[in-house]
Amino acid sequence: MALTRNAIVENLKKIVGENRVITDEQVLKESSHDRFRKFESIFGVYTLPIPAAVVKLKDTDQTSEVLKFLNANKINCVPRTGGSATEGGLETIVENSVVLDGSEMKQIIKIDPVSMLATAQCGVNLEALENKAREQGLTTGHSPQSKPLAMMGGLVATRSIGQFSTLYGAIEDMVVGLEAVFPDGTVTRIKNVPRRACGPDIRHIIIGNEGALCYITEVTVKLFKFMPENNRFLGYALDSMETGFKILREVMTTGYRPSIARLYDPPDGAQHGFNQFAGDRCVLIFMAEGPAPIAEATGRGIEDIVKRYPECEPVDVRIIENWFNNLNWGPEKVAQEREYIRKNLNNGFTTEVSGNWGDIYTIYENALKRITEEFAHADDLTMLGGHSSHSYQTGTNMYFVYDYNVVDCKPEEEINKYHIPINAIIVEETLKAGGSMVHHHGIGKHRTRWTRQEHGSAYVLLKALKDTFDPNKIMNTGTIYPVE
Amino acid sequence: MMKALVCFKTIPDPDMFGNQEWEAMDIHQPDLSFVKRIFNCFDESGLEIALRLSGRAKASDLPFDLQALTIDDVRADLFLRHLLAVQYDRAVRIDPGPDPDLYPDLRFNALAVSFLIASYIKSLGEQNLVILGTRGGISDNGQTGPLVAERLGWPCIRDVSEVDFVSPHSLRVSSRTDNTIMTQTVRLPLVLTIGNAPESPFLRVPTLKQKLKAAKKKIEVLEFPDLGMGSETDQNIDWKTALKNDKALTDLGLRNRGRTCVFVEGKGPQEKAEGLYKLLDDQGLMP
Repeated sequence: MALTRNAIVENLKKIVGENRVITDEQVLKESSHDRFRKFESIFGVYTLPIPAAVVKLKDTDQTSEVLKFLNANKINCVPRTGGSATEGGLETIVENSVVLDGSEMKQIIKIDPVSMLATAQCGVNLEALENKAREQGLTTGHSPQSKPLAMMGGLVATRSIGQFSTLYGAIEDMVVGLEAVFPDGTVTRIKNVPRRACGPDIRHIIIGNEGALCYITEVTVKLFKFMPENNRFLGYALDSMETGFKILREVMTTGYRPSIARLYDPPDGAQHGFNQFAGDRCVLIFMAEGPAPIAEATGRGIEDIVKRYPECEPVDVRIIENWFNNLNWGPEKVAQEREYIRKNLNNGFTTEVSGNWGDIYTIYENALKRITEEFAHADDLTMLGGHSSHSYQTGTNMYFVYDYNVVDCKPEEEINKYHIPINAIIVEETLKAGGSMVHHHGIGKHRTRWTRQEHGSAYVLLKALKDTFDPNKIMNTGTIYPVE
Repeated sequence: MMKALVCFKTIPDPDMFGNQEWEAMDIHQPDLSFVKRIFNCFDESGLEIALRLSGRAKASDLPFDLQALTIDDVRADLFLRHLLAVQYDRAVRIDPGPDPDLYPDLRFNALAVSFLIASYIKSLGEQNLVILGTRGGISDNGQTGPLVAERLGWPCIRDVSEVDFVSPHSLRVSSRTDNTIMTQTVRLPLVLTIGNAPESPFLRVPTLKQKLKAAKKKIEVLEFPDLGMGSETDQNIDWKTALKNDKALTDLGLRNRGRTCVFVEGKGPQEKAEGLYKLLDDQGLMP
């Protein structure tokens, strides 16, 4: 028989101590969602089941004990650290869920400047780790917009990516080793080695699991030399996204590795004020970094490529540098955004997908066309566009961005009226063209209806992981895997 | 008929530059041209307050003419187009022209700016309500609104937080004075300067359709001689001297905003709360 809400709380207090089990109603409400439901929460509306408790985890052993208890009693849990998720992965959709909050496990365990490794507990804020590394002239190379908010556990769990990914890679390229706790309480450590050929790379069972398989307690990531004095910015205004994709492709396939390679369409660029210097044109941005000879050669190489496209016009690089230096989102920007949304009833969302070079323009064009033509509330849109911000040898991502006035609906209806149908069009068009429906936010709980289609015949592998590691289905129900 | 003019300016987004940029700046030629520009926040609230007023008047079938005015180069057209898209009836830009030596320097120069605004109202606009932000971002001298009122001979209410429609000839205006809010019903003509209230509105955002429509609308561009500054009839006036700035930027420096901080130690919340209570009591800060 299922434990009552009170019994869950009392048992948890016995395991972790009274002070670590939070049952304050407002904390529980805030812990029932993530930024996916920001509109509702701004108006104090919480539509999801409120968790039984939030457990502030102290260490790996405690995580293990708590998970053993939850597993034995088949109680759903939602792992959480910085709380900056955007895809509903932190939503508590099951009654009496327990939120496992690792944000107090914030010890930077070791910075190893010889082997170039940084080891941190799951609750270490990325910006704090980055600052610590920079004291020794090093960098993690990881810089997502959420850097001031996000914590190491969540970044690895969602397969996060940073603004310098073209050079340093995404989080999966940075993680060297890990520690994680599985639902039965087993603690797994994957050791830190530069490379090995000892069977499949088991790090990837844990990286990107979104709390649906295990709880990440500790992470070791690579470090790089930090040489910002060599940074070189380049910016261009150009007429079309199609040309922009061609240039991005040429830069990447020729072998250049700028740390930033971004392409904005005019509506998205206007959000950043790019229309103030580029008018109604697209904008291409690059940053070359690293040792001076490499940064210079990369910058020169990109300039040579862009010169072959006469429609590209260089822009004042101070604009690009200044914009880039102010791109990150800390708590103050989140607060400003919430105030703006509350007063103006104007909300914004994104959907990020990826596609091969041969498909990406089709995805971009078809998704925008369909939204304009088919979305029932297109009249309420105040912005519709996107950018590419992470490029690879074989393709790139497309980050669709859209804002809308919330008209004639209750706060709890907003997500279904606007974001979900637009998101669906983008995902459908991406899958139709052979791309991936999620580039770097994680599947969360609202793109699960396409998980099977995304993986096709490989879905059996994904399902086997759940069946093997979480047979009682207590780990973040409804995330990655559709609710049966 | 109520005819409202909202004067605004755009400023470099203060969130987009920090101490470094200020410290590196040449004070004689401050250059923030590389920083994204935004509506000055006080003007932005004024622009939205006027739109709401216009909406309420039009909903009651009362004629209401709403214009926006700025003194700037062509870069301001993006902002004027935004205003046309959200239903401003007219958008006017006074262009300073290509030769800065011909006219007074407008930076920090409320005398010259208020002259141009008042001239526009007297000779072309014929408004009976003028709304401006209380302060202007970087210069922040807070003088333009009162000077416009003085030049027009109209009353001026400062630090306004709310405006409501009473009749075609009068408004109900709430304004902040120290810690109180004063609400008064006043007859037009009138100058209002919008202050920083917790509920100051943001300017609404146009929809894609509204933006498309506004792209075809005309932005009216005037030059200084159109407003009597340097016109043929006034050729004998030395405008640079007549409207010379009475202020000069002499230095840029960082104000020390350091705060002292005390950590209240304690084993648990109760002990920490007791520690805080004692600290406040010791310092005579208890109510």
